[in-house]
Amino acid sequence: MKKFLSLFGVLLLAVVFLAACDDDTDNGYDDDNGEVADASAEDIRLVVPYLGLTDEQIEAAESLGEMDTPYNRFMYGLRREAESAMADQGAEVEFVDWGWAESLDQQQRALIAAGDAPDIVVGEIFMPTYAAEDILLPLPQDIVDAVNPSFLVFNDNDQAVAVAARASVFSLFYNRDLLEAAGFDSAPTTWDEFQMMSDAITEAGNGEFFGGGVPSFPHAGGALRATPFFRQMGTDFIVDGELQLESQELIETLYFIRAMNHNLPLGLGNSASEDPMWNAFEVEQNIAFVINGTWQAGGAERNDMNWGVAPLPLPAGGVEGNCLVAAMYMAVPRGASHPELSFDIIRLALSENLSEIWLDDSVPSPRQDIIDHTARWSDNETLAVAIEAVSTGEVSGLATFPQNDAQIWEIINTQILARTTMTNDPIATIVAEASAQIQSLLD
Amino acid sequence: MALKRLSREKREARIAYMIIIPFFIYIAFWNLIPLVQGIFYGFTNFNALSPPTWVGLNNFRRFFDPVNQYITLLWRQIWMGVLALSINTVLSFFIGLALNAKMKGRGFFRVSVYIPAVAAVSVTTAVFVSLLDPINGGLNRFLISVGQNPIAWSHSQFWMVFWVIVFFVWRNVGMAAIIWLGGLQGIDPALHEAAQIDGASKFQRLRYVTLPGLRFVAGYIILTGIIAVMQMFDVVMFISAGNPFGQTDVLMYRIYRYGAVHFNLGMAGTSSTILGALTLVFAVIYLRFNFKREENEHA
Amino acid sequence: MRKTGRIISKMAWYIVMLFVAFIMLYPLIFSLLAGLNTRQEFGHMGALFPVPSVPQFQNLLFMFSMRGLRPLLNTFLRTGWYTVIVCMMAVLIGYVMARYKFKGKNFFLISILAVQVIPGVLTLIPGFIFMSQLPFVGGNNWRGYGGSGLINNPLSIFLPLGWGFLIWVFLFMQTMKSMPKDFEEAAQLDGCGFWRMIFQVIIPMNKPIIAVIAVNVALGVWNDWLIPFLYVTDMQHSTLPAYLGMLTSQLQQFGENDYPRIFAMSTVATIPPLIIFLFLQRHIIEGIASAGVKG
Repeated sequence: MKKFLSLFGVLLLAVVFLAACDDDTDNGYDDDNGEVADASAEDIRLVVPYLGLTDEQIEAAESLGEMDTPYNRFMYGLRREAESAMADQGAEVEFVDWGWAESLDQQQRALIAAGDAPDIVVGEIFMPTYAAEDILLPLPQDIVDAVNPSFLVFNDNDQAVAVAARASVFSLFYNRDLLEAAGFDSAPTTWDEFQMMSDAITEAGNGEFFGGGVPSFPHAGGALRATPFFRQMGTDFIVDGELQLESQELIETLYFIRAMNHNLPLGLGNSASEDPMWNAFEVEQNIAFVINGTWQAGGAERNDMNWGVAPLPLPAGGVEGNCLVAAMYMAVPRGASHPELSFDIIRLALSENLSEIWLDDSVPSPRQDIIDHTARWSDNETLAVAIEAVSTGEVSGLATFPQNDAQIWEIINTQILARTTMTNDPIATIVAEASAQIQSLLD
Repeated sequence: MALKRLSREKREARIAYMIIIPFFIYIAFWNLIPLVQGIFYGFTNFNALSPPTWVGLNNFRRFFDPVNQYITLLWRQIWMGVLALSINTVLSFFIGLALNAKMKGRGFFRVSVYIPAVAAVSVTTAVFVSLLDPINGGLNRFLISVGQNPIAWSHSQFWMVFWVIVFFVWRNVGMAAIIWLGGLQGIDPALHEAAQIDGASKFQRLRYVTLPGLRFVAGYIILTGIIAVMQMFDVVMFISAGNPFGQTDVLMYRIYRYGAVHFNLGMAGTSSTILGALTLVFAVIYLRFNFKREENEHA
Repeated sequence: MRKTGRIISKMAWYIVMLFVAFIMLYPLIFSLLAGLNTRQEFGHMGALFPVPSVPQFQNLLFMFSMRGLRPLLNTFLRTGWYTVIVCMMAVLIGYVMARYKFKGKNFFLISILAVQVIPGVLTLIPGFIFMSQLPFVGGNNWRGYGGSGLINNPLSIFLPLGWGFLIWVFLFMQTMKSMPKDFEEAAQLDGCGFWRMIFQVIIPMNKPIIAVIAVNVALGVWNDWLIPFLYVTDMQHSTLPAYLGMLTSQLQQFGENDYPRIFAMSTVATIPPLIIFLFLQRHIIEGIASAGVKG
């Protein structure tokens, strides 16, 4: 028995020793960094993902000389203002980088499931799922009143629970030089024109430059850019709770996406990474058309392109359609430790001096007073189109499925969109096979 | 305490329990509770946002319904795993043999084959991904420079499976070769000399002296290999991400996505329970087979 | 005639082995070279050997900046701790299982083998939930609510002991079984107690197989990115591979992929385990040889 106890003692000692060791190194480093390891009563500590630049991100941005892009100005400004505002209330705020999209969702859900929700949750396409699961606190009325309703997400009780710090729509960006090289001087307005011009540019380019098409990235980036085209045909993946996968309009759109993909260099339109496409457009300038959010204007400008922008071309007999993109939704989860402080940070993100930064990136701000003040943005044509599209409330984000949303989108992205452009399988087969799987996920 | 009066066996048992039980309790503490929880989720619908709801065997029914492709993915996990494991085992055996030759500089070659096992998967796959890039990748640029057409690697199931297996073998062959080498050096040189005196050819010595001496090592490589390939997903995730359109997806990768990305913890629990049970069956069959052969030979 | 034949086969050996070594080393050469590029240059290069026009060292130096150093140190601490504890466990349990007779030995042996086949992912999220609901830590009450448990606690990447490590107990047990008992029996006659036996007889005599275990555990822990990535959000309390994983996931989302920095960091991250392997290389082969004799 004695030995048994002594062994346990040794184990315990080892653990305690380790803990002590780690604490030592901990403090040593904090001192070196000049951070104050506070032992005072101040122990309110908020954890906020994404909304502020972390030290790593600041360093990365500085090394690229990109600290003055509107995105970084917003993110850095919010961090500084939130830190000082929280300090006034005796609290500390830590901005953490959990990535965006899936990795962000992963961290947030794991923490929510563990009962240790972060103080603010951020996200785009999964925010409607959070709202539907009723894990978000309703927004205070002053926040709801200050923003345009199109930037809100509602739960099943019609309470506003999340607000976007910015949101945009898609436009058709083009390279004037390449258009001229093929003898065109204005942007296409119909699908047929779009296809004809793109074909002609690809032919004129002869492998040196390309027309460009509709992306089909095997992730949300593809779905977001394809969705406007489905909506122009008056359909979507799901409408009023009914799957539309095998509808004629959807199949026709997919054939169009496939045809357009021939005007992209091999593997560019459906690669796992989006960057090569934006790079090809604005840096290498060897594709004529891209479909991207309005922030593309800033990128084109920074690279001294001879560029132009136009509304998305329409199919014959089609309707206008677009999709909300880059909606940076913020919400306070029910488990947040100090909801009032969390809402204060959201108020800061919506404050006029920070929110107007987005206008410099041709991205709409959610503030109703900025939207109403047309003189502030009407001379920026790209931005004006976006603000008008978003603020009328006609544009919504990606469709949401009542359950297993993430898995269903994965099937759509990889087994419908990417497969459409990667293979020559009949579209009817593609949608039928995917539809069977999706149906079963909805049961 | 009158330890001396206890019989030796009792004393030994006592020490054994005092050593083993604390470790087992500690390990069980960190693993058993999550395991039970994970299996429990297999009988529920749980998305980590609202509490789990009990659905009985529903998830298992879903698993075996072919429309949901779990069976397809399981089958692909098995055949890709078998392919990767057999290529790796055979190739590493020959490298092990070569490294056993008494040549100058073999120390360098031993270290070089082992190096891939040292670097992290997430990192070495980045080299492959960068090379396989359809436009700016080194491989396609090379193909163009020698007058060939570039290949859209990620559009082809064949090429993606090919590169996944190339990566798997590249990473694991060194480790296995070193283990084979250890086995080869453990064989008593006297046996080889005796066989040589009896006039056995090189091939005969390989077949009747070397191979039987490697039984334990082979068992170890294959057994740990079975477990590894049945749980292989990181290579697939980093190299192909299941592309093209899910044609290189394997069950374990889907479990990872459901368990840690999409939060379909119900199906993740169900699928990993089934996968775990199946791996257990394979391991037991292999062990039985191996032990039986040994018994026969000893008898 | 015989002599030329031997020279030819010798040359063939060198040619084949040089080819194999080249394939094995190629990705490392690539990543070393790529790490010396600027991001812009690398992005357009598409070469099989990305030789930079002007070598850039800032990516390599980043590792030794304050923020790069801390995760590196954590990785060292974590690797060292797990290597020591797992080797101790393997030696102690492996020894008693190989040498002592006691009831339930089969149960322990079967559990050691059975847990190896449980997919690690099954326990990933439940394990996370479990960690966060440990009572009395991180502000939790006795029922495990109210705080964050061990999540984000620096200790969370040190305390859990996965049962996959038990495979090394099995390997040590197998090795012990193939060892002659002479020394131990002699020591026992001299009145050598259990702990003296372990430290003065068993460990010194089995250094090679312990080296095998140590290297494998150390490599596994060194390269594990998922657990630190998931359990610790503050990278200053996390490890280098998790930090690399974060950079990779971050850079896939916006901006150009900063491949050069990832490659530079990974080159540095490969050096310590490589040194460990270089030092222990001889022991490893010996160790496997000693385990493989009888099986």
